[in-house]
Amino acid sequence: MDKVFVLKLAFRNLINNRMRTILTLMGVIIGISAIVVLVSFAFGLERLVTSEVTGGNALKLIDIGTGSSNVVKLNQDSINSIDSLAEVERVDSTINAGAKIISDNNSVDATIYGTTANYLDLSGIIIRWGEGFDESEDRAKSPREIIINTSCATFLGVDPEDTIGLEKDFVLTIPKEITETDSGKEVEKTSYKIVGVVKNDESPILYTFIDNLKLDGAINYSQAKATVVGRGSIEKVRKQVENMGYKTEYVGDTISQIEQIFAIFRIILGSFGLIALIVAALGMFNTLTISLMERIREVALFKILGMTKKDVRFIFLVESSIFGVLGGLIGVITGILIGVIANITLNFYAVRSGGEPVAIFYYSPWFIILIVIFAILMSLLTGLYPSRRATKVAALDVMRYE
Amino acid sequence: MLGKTSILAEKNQKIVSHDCIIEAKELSKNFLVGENNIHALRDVSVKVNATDFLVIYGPSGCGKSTLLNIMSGVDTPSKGDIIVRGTNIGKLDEDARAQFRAKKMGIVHQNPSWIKSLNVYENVALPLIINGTEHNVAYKRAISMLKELEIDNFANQKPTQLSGGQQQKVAIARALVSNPWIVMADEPTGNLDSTSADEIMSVFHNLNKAFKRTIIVVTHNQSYWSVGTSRLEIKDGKIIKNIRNG
Repeated sequence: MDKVFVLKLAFRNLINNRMRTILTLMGVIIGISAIVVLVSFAFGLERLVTSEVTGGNALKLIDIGTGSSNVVKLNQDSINSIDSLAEVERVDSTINAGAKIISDNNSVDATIYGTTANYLDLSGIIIRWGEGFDESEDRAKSPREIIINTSCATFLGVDPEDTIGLEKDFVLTIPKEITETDSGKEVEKTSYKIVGVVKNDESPILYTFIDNLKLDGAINYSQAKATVVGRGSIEKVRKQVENMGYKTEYVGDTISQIEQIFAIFRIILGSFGLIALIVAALGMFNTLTISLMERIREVALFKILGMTKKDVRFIFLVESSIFGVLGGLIGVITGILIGVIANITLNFYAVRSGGEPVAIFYYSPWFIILIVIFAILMSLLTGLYPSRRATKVAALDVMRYE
Repeated sequence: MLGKTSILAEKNQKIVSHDCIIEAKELSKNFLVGENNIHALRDVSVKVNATDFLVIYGPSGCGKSTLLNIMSGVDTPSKGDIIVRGTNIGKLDEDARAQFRAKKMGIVHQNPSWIKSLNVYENVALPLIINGTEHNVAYKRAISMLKELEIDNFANQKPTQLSGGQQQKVAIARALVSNPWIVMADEPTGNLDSTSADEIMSVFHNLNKAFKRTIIVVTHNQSYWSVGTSRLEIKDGKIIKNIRNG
């Protein structure tokens, strides 16, 4: 039978009972949009938390350290060995040391990292004011360059942006496992020029080019980050590095834990939406059954005029799937709109109170496609009983008694 | 009304007046009403020729509508055979009977039923669409059919807005639109005034005379007894008179 005709007929029937159609459709729209809003919220939160943990390219990174071992050393030779592994793209390292910031007879303890710009980038450390340090070969450069955090700026009593270009004195204490001496090394007071500020108020932290600490006597590294060619190489490279005697950590371990927690969170939130959708499905079932009862004489007429059971079923399934398609699409659009409005409102207040704008809702394309398919399947399932019942209408009895 | 150039003249099978188009052999139909077994038809045997205008007459409840329903394949006999142009339609399943009916038969009821959301020409086009014709082609043919019956000015109205006589003419248009072999009408004039009823009967008469369609009309109105070329009188599920050609 002509499919276009069946579609037109279904729309006419729905339009003829406008109010009932709108109310039924609204039920589906509310159910679908509730699921979209709640699950997108769970997705958004997960992404926020995950991006906090991982930073930029963290899923391709392996953190390498010596753990508590006094025997295994992380030095230039070991870095070269790791770097030479087939699936390792590059290795960046860092040296941790203690430092004292001296300003106008006051001083504060800080942690200093001798590192590279790439290591900072991989660690997700963003320079908010100023620029990074010079990594050129010119080691005699004076004064040395340093990046501070906002906690140091507070100690210095200067606004972060105004610290750029200031020269301050620092006293460094390099631990013995780095210098390979009996008691480590206290480096005499050295002047550093502040070239950048990182936003972090927790405790004073400093970053300088790794070669500066090497000049001060550092031989070993505290940690390294190996960038592998892809996520698939992580396990293999980890094993190879661990076989060299080093400890490895991978942020993906944490991510999979986060993902597990949020999967449960999504299911819980999605279940709330599902309840709304089940109520909508019951409403739809009711509408379709009443519609069949009202049009039972029409069904009988179709059969007397020669319509097969398959075509009768098709007419009713088309009608029910219209609820699914329209309800699914409008529900998704409504859900996204609600999320966008909620996000804009939230960010408005967040920015006003000094926070940063964030995306609380994330609309995963596969989830959106899945939810529309789900709505259509649900509508077809709901239409199954009324359509089956329509095929069983005894045309002659209906014509005789209805 | 129904001129020589009618679309009904496209009939594709060669009509020979003595061709037997329907043969009922010892038909019986029983209904179980509560605990009572009602015998609506008892061993009814009848032959209908291709050019017949058969009037089935009898009082209410005599079994004449049951016979018509079995002839059209809407119902099946409890016993016996109903053969339409060589096909024993009583042995076909529901869908096969429906498809057979859609292609070969046009049916008119006492109270015509409509698809309420469709207008007149769309309702008339239904049998063609059910047969698999594309809806725009079916609509064109439906409008031509309405023109033939001179009721095309109602084409865009809803059927329920029309008078009883007009509705019955639209129902005839719907029965004829797929150019069937046989047109069956169950009390087509039952709810009409005498003028409209005569008009409807003259349409059937014309169909039979000019276009050689097999017409079977069930009526309890004795005044139409003489309209048919063949007459069948039924009482208590049995044929009591079977008069052929006058």
